[in-house]
Amino acid sequence: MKETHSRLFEAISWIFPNLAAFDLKTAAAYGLPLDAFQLIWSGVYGISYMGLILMITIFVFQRRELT
Amino acid sequence: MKKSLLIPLSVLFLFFLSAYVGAYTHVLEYRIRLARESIRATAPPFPPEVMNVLAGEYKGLLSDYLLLEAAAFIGANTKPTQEDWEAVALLFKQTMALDPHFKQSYRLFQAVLPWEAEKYDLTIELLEKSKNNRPWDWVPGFFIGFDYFYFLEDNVKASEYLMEASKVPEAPMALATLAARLALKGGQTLTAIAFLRAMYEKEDDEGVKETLRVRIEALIGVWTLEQGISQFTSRFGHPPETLEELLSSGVLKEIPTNPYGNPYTYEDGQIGY
Repeated sequence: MKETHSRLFEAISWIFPNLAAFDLKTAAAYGLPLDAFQLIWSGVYGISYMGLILMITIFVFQRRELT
Repeated sequence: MKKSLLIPLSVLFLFFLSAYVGAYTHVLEYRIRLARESIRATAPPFPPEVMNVLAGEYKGLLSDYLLLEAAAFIGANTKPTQEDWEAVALLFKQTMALDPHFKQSYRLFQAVLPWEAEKYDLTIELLEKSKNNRPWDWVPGFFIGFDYFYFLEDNVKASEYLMEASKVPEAPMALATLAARLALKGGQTLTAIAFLRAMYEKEDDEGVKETLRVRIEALIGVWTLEQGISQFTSRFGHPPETLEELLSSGVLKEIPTNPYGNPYTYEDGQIGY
């Protein structure tokens, strides 16, 4: 049961974006230094997520008769 | 779908997919976890009087902000250095200069400054301010009495302040009793427990309540040990060398557990926790 649960949540974490990656308020509030690689990976993560959604949308709407 | 579109779209899709898979694993751990050591207390570098002038119309707002700064640091559960305590003390001085009426301020600094920062005189000075600005409130006077009794070991002063506090309307009956008991001296630990129980009953902040509960538990342990030591002394004619002797001689069935984690210490006739 526990195994299936954790599998399920992992699957969900792949589908929904992990917004915690863009949450910098702790660093801002406590004046902590930001890691450049962290910012780059967060950027890549966000852009690739948007790109993927866009591609899927294009595929979906290609099959529809919109006019 | 047009064939000419299919190939570039698929390539782009694969490109984004691989970038996503790569980034996903990196990003997984990006929730910032604050290391205890990275949190430091800071106060604006101005004397309280200057802050009072600079704040202009926004005294209340600034006072609340400074109190929040102090509370956030205290609540972060760090291992504060002496410098941190200096900053926290300055924050409290500033917030009290800006708004000496706020109840939360004195409750917080009484819970921290004497117990952890060992700033007894400052605590009493700030409590005097709260007491004078809140004549309807018996608690600041009660706290001053406690600080004199427990930290400064001045029973006469403690009893004076408690007597004064007990005259405020709505002050609990026990205050006068406490004052009387202090005037008689002796029974220090029991008196402290009685004090803390009174604080516990009147407190409605769950965090402070928990702190008080642990302190009461620790003092009950101290009291048990003190009773054991005095029994040992009257039975054998000399005090025990170590707390373990209380066990081996059968005076105590078990040594109480210190709720703060470390075992109780016993040096020069004093129990430490």
